[in-house]
Amino acid sequence: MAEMQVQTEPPSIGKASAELQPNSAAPAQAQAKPPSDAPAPAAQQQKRGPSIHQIYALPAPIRTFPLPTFYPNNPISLFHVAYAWLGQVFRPPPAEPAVIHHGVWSETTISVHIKDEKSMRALWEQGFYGKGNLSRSEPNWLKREQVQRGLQEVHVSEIFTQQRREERAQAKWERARLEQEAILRTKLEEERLAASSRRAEKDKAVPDSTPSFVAPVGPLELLALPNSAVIVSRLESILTPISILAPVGPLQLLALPNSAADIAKLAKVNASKANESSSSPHGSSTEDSEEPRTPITNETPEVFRDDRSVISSSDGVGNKTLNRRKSVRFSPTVESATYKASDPPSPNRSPPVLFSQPSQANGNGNSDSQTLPSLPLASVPVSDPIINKEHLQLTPEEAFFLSFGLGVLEVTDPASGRVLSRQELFSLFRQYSYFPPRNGPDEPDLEPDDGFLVHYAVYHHFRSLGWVPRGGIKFGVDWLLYTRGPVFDHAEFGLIVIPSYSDAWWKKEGRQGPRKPWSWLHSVVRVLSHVTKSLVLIYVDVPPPHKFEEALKDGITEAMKLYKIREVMVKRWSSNRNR
Amino acid sequence: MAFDDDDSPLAAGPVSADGEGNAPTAEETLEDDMPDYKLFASAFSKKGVSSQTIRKGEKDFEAHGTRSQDGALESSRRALEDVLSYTRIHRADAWARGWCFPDFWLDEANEAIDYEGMWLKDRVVAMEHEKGGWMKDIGRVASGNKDQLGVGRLWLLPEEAIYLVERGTVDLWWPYTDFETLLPKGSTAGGQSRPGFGPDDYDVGLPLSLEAAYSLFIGYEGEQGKTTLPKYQVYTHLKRAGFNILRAPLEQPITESTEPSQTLWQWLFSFVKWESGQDRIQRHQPFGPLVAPGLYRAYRPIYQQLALLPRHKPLPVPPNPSKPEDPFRVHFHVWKPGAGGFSKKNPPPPDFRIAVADTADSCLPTLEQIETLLESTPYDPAPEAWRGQPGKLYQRLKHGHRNVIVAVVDRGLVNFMRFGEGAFGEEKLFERFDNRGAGRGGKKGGRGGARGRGRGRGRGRGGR
Repeated sequence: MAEMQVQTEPPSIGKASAELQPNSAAPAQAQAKPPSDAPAPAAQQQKRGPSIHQIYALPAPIRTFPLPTFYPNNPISLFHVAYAWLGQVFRPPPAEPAVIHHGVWSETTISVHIKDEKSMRALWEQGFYGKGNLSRSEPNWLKREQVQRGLQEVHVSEIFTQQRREERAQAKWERARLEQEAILRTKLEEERLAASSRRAEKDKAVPDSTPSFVAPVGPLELLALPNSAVIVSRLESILTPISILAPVGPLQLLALPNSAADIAKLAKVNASKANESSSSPHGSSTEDSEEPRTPITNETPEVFRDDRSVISSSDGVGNKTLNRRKSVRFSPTVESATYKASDPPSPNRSPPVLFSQPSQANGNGNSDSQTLPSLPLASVPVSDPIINKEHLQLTPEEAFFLSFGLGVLEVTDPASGRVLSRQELFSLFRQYSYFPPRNGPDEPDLEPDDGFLVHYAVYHHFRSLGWVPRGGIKFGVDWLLYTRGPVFDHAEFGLIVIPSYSDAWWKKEGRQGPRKPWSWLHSVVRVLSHVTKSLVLIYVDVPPPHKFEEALKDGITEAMKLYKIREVMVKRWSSNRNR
Repeated sequence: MAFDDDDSPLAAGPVSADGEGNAPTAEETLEDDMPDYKLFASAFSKKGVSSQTIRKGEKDFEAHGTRSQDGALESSRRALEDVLSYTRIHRADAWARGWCFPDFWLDEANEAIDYEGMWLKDRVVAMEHEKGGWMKDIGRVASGNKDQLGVGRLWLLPEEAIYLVERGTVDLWWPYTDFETLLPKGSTAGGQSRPGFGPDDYDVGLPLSLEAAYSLFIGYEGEQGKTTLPKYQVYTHLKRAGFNILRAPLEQPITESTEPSQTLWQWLFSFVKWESGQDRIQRHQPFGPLVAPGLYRAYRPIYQQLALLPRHKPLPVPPNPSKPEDPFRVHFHVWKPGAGGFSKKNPPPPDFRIAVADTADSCLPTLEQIETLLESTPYDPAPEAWRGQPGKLYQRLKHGHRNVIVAVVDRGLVNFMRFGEGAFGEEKLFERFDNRGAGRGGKKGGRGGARGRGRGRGRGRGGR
């Protein structure tokens, strides 16, 4: 789980605002989800169970009985070896594979179902076979369910993923907030500079600039006032009721225009007006009373058009639709009761409540699990025990490898209840690799390039070398290749299987492999490189039918030997990075 | 831990970020196609444009109304404008003229001086005189008897000619008179324009436009004295990136393996292996299971019984290589720009071998195509230093035993794909199973992919 936390840390924060991150991240998290954040690390530390190296110690569902190591410098180890050896001689362990798992062929899903819980665990833990039908890969529905009901506190990967996503989303908002703050700071700074230059200018030419204006009355107008003659003309119609009135206080003077270029920026930054005017020595006396009322929420230039509404809503709830852009509001005073799902969170709110809405809408399957961490555990009544409704699904390739390769699986036909022999299984899987399945008497013959055979050849090839292939549809490839398994490492390779017909017989037939365009290759490589995997094209040279049928008479073993596998590593090469 | 990599592992930082296995990040790939204004900008330093003004870092997606953003945008625009409005000057003393003689070497029997890699029949432009440093990998001087016409002059291939015309380095002229008058024997070294043959004397010939150069030298596959558009595009792409590039000779000598033949010990060892292999095959049940029931002390025998499909064994000398055909034929040899010791006469082994494919008329190569293409390149296994190191497993596999680059040209856009001859059969992962768990902390997580490979192979890492 140490690696867990390495992953959860969003790297982008550091990039975006390296200097801001350390001091802001911690408080942000604390204030972001005060109730839910606390139990999570506690649960991580509480109960860890056996390490993954113990759980997943066996690389295959076959046990080995290695003799203890003999150390020449330690004579006692000789006795140890002898003891173990003698023990195995007198009380020999059962011949491996000692356990034969039972599976049921499912026609509708074209997979083999393992329903026995022990077998499910065993096949998952010893070589990462199959997938829980209610889980992402490891069959852990029951565990998840128990954790949700508060019966158990263990690590469930799906829940962690959920949490991690939330954290990541929150980190993104946090980053957006920091960016926004930085922008605001720049604005304020520029504002301040502009103000000081303005003042200097005004000191020189006060009589010229002011007389043309009828000064506004209220302090709010001051804030909303434009700063240049250019915009004033446009705004005059709006401001007429106010502009007739005589200027009352010295504050108006402060807000008066001075440079044409600044207007647009200043208009957006009325949030900063308060600071600006407070920083000015002229208005410091009256400004104190005004400050809390400044409607800082309106940050768009449109503000000027509904000037009156701003004035009327001087209580501070001048909340407007700000969905247009990805921005964050920073208002110490404004609190709005309604938020849209797409609304950005304000830093003072607790975001998880807001976040959960869209992600639940995504239909993530286990959407209710995300509210889980905030559930008070004690409040859940301990109800009747949950029945495990999950089973393990084996793809035809996995099932056949377990049966034909390792001999640890037997598959029954649900219709007859009979255990299928390996030949029957072989032709069954081949039949169902077509659509519609070629299992009727009128269907065309099975061919040596049917989907099952080609993929099984690849699957067997990599399994027999010790790799862990798993389905790779998520990444747009046929198989993913793990060195030890998904629990230990990320898959480094994505495999795409391409049947190839190099035999003269196929040439005569005019049979060709799939003609994939280059754009296809580029898109696959692009997707895989985004998840730091690399593509391997697996060309499977298919034997001609007559040879295959001939060999099949001598057994599946002989037939499979006719398939040749060639791996071609593909990588995008960039001229810029290879100089 | 992310089961089945549900989340982007980029979020977890680079997995195996060193050397060969380095995956491109999004930024890097974006940079590929952006012109590097920094280089230009340095030339404009007197105008006060520093490289900082041209921002290549973070993107702003919207105006946020600060003056600093406007300023940055403005200065970046100005830098771009400065670069684009730069006045290019052609100095009279650097003027170089090339004469277009497309059929010159076709007419005569020049077999004697046309050797492999010379491409004399394809050389279509004779340089009157040449200056500058661009001749490092461009053009070849026709060698032979000094009395022969054309000998001793620098001759350009069509792609080289267009490239130089496009750069403005060479003025391409169409001759009105014969070769002898224009480029008499022996006067090669002069370079000073003779009277009547200056840049403004249109009696002897006519300057050609860039368009004319394209129409003269771009043709279809197999046309003598022409190149195809995709090949030219690849050529200029690489030239502009600074590479040294030469046409690959047609018949590439397959270098005999320099590795010594097997030692007696290796020979014996291989014999033993073969023996055991025979045993294994005989033991196979025709209908499985492949693993015979029984007591096993290690995983190695189990996995040896599982071996069924023939595994590819890369050989230094392919047994029966066939002749590669276009487009899957190495067409360019490319050298990195920084590498010293490059000479176009005696080029060292190239750094990259590039075939050119057009998206319009080719698709993913078939097994035979890629096989012959790969076999036409020399045996190039992973470096010796990587061998036997568990941590270099992915790098070894990705490097492959042979490699070739296919330039994929999509209507002018050039992309490169590196294909490597993989051999997963050379990496028997199961050999690590038996040492697993022995003497290992077991505390660490599963990153890096190369842990826990035990002692069988990783000799250099004590204690793991």
